Amino acid sequence: MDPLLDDDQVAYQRGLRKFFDTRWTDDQVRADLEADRPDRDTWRRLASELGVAGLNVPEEYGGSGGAPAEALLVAEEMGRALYGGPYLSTVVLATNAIVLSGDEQAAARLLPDLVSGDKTAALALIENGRDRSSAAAPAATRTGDAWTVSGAARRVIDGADADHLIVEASAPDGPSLFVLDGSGVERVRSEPLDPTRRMASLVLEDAPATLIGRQGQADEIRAALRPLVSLALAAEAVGGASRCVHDTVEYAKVREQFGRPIGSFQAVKHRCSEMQVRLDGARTGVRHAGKVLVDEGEDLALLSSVVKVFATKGYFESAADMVQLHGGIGFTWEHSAHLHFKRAKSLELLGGTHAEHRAAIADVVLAARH
Amino acid sequence: MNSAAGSVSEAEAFRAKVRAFLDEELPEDWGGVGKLDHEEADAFAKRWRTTLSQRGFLATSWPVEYGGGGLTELEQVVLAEEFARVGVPTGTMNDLFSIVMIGNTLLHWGTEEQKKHFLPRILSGEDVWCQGYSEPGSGSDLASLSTRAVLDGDEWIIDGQKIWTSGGHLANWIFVLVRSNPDAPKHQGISMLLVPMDQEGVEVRPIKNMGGESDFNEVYFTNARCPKENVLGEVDHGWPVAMTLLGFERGESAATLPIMFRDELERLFDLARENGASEDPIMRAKLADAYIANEVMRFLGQDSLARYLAGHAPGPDAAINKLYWSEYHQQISELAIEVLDREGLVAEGRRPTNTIMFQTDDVGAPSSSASWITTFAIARSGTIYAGTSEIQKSIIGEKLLGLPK
Repeated sequence: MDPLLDDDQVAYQRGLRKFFDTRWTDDQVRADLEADRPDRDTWRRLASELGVAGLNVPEEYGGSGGAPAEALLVAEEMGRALYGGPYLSTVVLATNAIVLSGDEQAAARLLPDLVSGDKTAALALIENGRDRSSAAAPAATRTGDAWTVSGAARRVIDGADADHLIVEASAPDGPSLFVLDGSGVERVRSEPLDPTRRMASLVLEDAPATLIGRQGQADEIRAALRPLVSLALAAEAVGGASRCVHDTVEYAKVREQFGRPIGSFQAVKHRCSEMQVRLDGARTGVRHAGKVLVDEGEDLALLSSVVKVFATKGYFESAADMVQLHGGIGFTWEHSAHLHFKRAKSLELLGGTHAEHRAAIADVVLAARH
Repeated sequence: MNSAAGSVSEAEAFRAKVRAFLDEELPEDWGGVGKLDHEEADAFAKRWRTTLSQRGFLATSWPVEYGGGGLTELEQVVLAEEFARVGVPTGTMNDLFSIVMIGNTLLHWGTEEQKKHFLPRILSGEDVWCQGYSEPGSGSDLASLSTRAVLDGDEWIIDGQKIWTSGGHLANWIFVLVRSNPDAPKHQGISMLLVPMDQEGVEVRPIKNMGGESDFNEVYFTNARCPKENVLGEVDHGWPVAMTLLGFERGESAATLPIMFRDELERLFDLARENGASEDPIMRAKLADAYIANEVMRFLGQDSLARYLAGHAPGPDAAINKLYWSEYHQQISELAIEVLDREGLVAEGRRPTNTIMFQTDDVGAPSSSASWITTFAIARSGTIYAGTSEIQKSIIGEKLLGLPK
């Protein structure tokens, strides 16, 4: 029971969980990460049966419009199921970026198929993190009314498989978003830290593209996107961590050593309790953020940084505990512990590192009082 | 929204009433008890209790027929919140034991005679209570307690020793867990006795805590006596009576702890801005982490409050909250010394007024080195009293996660 959810939200959460319990078992997780191409059928069903791709999309483009708390529940259940389908790329990044751009033409052209699950999209933002690559970031050139983009984008989630590619590129009036027409793009699959989430590099050579929104709007969109991304990652971390706690506790109840279940030893029991405390802190934080997304009663950027750091850090710690408390079996490729361990670390790096979020928090809370 | 706890609209109307009361009773330049020196704070606490009593804001959880405020749970939370915000107490230090603990327990388990006798005397201030649970040999394993009570005609005769008795030196009554039947299994054979302390057989000896304060005590019972009828609940069945305490003040503390700890953190941020620590990149990262930890306490409090107001029995969420805030406070108070830098070597300025069931220094207190140094020491008690962190983790593991004993 979760006292911070209303009845409709509980029902929606239950529907999502039931879907993943039947459609995305451990076997499917394995099959998908070993498959050449991602499973699209599951995504289409998630979109059509549970409406996961349209929760933040206005009704005129096929969405249900304005259900940000439910969107966090989607991310959470995906985390619990270790689902790595195109939600983060298509919905959290690309769809939200299109909606935030206010570009009605782009919205009308792209959103209905994204909402229905028939099409997917990836968004490649120019990141500010440390990177030793010397490849030039995407830059856009205008010839008459037509744009082309050249340069490289790395670590693009679902970049090899998405139907639409949206890239941030520098342009004469500042960084801007473009949707690529399709030619002039080389997609190279990467080997991601988190094997359940696909990534690719894009090498663009005079790739024809269409501007989304205004020239120079990318910074503004990125800023508005950042809390939504942080919270989606945090919610996914909550789901993943809850699975770590659950699976570890169940194992500690049945695994016997010295003639007793290992969960009866305080060294193990207390570690499980610490996992639960971290989980509760993160879960209640994400729930609170879900409310603030609706009532706008607090500084969302600040709150999302707080919740992102705590939830993803907690997930990683619990995943590490999961490996340790499972002993040798937890170190094997067969066991799902390493999938959590790697996904948790990847959630820490995506959407801004702890150091970046801490700096952002300090800027606000330590600002001079007036 | 309405719940078993009371209607939200009524509680908000009540909030306006509480604010009006505070506006009326407090001076215009009121900045919290922390703005007063120790003498003024003592005098204020006494006056304030009388005011609360006259205006029906003392013992808010008790029914009106026993002189209480008769407030709904939601209203109690609102009152605690508003009081915490302006930095005034809901009673004196010992009222935690008198009103919250034994008063509420009497209401739950007491006979009509007991309620009519004891409750008014608590409100008038005539009876001041303390709690006799822990013993030198029985800390975490409380049920192993060995203080004996034997019935002798119309009286119980009590022999043994209690320890860590907070406020025992200020009390004239003690509620004591005793072994009344040495042959029964350890959780049975325990009784809860109500014992006057103003008698020859009861001796209180102060213990100085690591903060240098003497707010807790040893209490020795040597042929101490109390009337036969001063048993709360049934003879030999005092364990469930003793455990009732755990549920009290749950809603209030879920609402007020985040306010107090936020006030304290703001003081730490002020200090960092004042001495330049806020410009240091490493300290900035640590202070950001402190803010994150503080926010998480607020989130956990909301969850706990929602459970409480939805009428859930006290559960393992209380263990999670207690574990969280007590560990949090140690980290924050350690960080405060680091922020103080060399100033942390010497205690100067105002000290906290009390260290009984210490949480933070008073709202409005100056960011003095004496305040932070005392807090740094006293924060170690939070992970020990009312169930150590280790006990809380076992509760969470066994009750919530279902791990075997």
